[in-house]
Amino acid sequence: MSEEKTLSISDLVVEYHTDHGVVHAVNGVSLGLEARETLGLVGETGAGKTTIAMSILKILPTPPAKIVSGEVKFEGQDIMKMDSHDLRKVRGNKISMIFQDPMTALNPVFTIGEQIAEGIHLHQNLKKGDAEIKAMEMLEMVGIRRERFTDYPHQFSGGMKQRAIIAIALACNPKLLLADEPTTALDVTIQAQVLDLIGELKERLNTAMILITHDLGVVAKSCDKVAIIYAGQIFEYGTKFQVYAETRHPYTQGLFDSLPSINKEVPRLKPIPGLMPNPMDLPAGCPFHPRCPRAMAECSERAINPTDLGDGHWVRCINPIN
Amino acid sequence: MIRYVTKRLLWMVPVLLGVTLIVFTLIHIAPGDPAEAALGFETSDEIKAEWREEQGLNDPFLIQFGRYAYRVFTQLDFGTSYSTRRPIIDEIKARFPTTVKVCLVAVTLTNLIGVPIGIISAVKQYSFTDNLLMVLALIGVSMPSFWVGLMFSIIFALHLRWLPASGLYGPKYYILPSTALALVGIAMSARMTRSSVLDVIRQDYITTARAKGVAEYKVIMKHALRNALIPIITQIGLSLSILIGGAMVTEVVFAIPGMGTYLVQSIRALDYPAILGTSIVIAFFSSAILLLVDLLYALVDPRIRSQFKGKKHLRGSKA
Repeated sequence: MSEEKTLSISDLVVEYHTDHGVVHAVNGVSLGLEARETLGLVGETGAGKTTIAMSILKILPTPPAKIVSGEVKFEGQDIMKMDSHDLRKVRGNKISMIFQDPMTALNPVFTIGEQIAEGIHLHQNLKKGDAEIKAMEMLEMVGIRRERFTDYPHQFSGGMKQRAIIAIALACNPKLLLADEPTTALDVTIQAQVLDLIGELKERLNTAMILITHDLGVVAKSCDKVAIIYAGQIFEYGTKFQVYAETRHPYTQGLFDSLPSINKEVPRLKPIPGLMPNPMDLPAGCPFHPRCPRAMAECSERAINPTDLGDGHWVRCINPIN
Repeated sequence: MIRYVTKRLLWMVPVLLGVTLIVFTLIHIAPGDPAEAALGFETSDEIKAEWREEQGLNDPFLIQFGRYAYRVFTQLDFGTSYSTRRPIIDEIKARFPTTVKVCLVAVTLTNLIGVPIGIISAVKQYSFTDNLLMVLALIGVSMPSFWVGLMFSIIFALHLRWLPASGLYGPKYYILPSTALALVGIAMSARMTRSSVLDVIRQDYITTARAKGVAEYKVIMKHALRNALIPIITQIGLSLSILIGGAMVTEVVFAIPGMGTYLVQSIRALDYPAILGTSIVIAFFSSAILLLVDLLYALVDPRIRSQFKGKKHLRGSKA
């Protein structure tokens, strides 16, 4: 068991079937996560990051979502094959999720305390009263006074709501935390605080984490490994050092080029030309080829498979940067 | 909270005065001679004139209205009926409970059936069950309740002889009128509940609840329903107040001795005090129900609850 990875996803394909057509949200994603490791999932809006996270918990709304194929193994068990009873034992207990928008992620008609205690009561065999005491401890752990236990979400500020959501997510000491852009909706001044809090609690509770973000700075600060996602595929995967210092994929390079830098004198930022392809109508071959500066004729002709570069660094490109 | 309720109760005074003025005006511009209606054709003109004088019907309109409003709002004196010569308040007391009973049975039926249908439809959106239920609901909404009442009488009373067609002498007598009244309500309540629940189950906090490992039925019955309740409560309140005032035609169809039948009779007989008294009582209970609905909102939704607390308190807690 100890050899088992905390999470291993192989060849996950997820589609959304809508009235207008089939949205190819995730197209063959494979990744692995060791215990206590933090993986940064980086990509533009609509690249399929949230869909991947929600597939791990199997909480995608079906329909319209449809998990076409793939395995999501958590501690050796395939989540995709679990029945609803076993799934509920995993959700919120072994794997939990922090959502993007704290303003809407809390139920407005229940107190913060009730919402934290609910998961504890469900998973930890505790009586209501004991669950509430544990919930108060969680509140204090995320830096909120325990007297606020009986407050409702509308009495909390955005940052406090996100702290409460973190408390809900971590209440049962999960093995894996899925943080879906936990700071996007927050004030810049609060972002660092919340990230530090997540990082600190994750260390204390020995939790592995997938941090979804489009902020490369956040990744540099808090992740061990990075996966760059584009149009539902992982383009480059490796340790933070490999991806940042030995960038191989032209898309990854494009992301870095579009960031302002303090050290270099750059007259103008260099955006990646063009737009993300419509996921209902992905281009043949590599989905990035219409925007890629290094594209070759072959790029549009066949599906590109990942190339292993050694040391766990791999890239999905036939003409990578050297 | 108490301040809010007092304020709302005081607001009912101008509302009721407005209702009184409107009904009063309408009665007075309507054609017909109440004296003739009250005393009969054969009565001599002198006696009619004397009666009109006695009832104050010869005074200017505003004086009549002022006198009536003064009596009603300060002494709760609704006057005496032209046709029975008994105090209006007694006539209403004899009929109001009947109407309330029929309406309560109808509203209970409406929501016991309508709300679950709405929830099922929403949870199984676009399924065969959903489509079937919603088509039935559409049919239900489109049928006027007096017509349903007539059809029920014909089928269940006349042909099948299962249930009595008219009067109100026991539990059995409630079934047909209440069902006829409830049918439209069920359909409306089902559609309202469905859209309200659909709205809520797409919210992020429902995903949060699922991600916590909450069982699906609990996600719906606890997390979603509590949030979907506000439109449902509104609907219940509205249908109750509509029924109390608007069950008239159905009451007539089933010969139920309630407020509706009485109002229709009074209008026919040009019994001014009876028309006015009934209208004011109905208006009063409608506003009271709406007040109750607003108070229920506060019970269901803590965000509304905090609005009821004084502004001072809010300022204090925000700091």
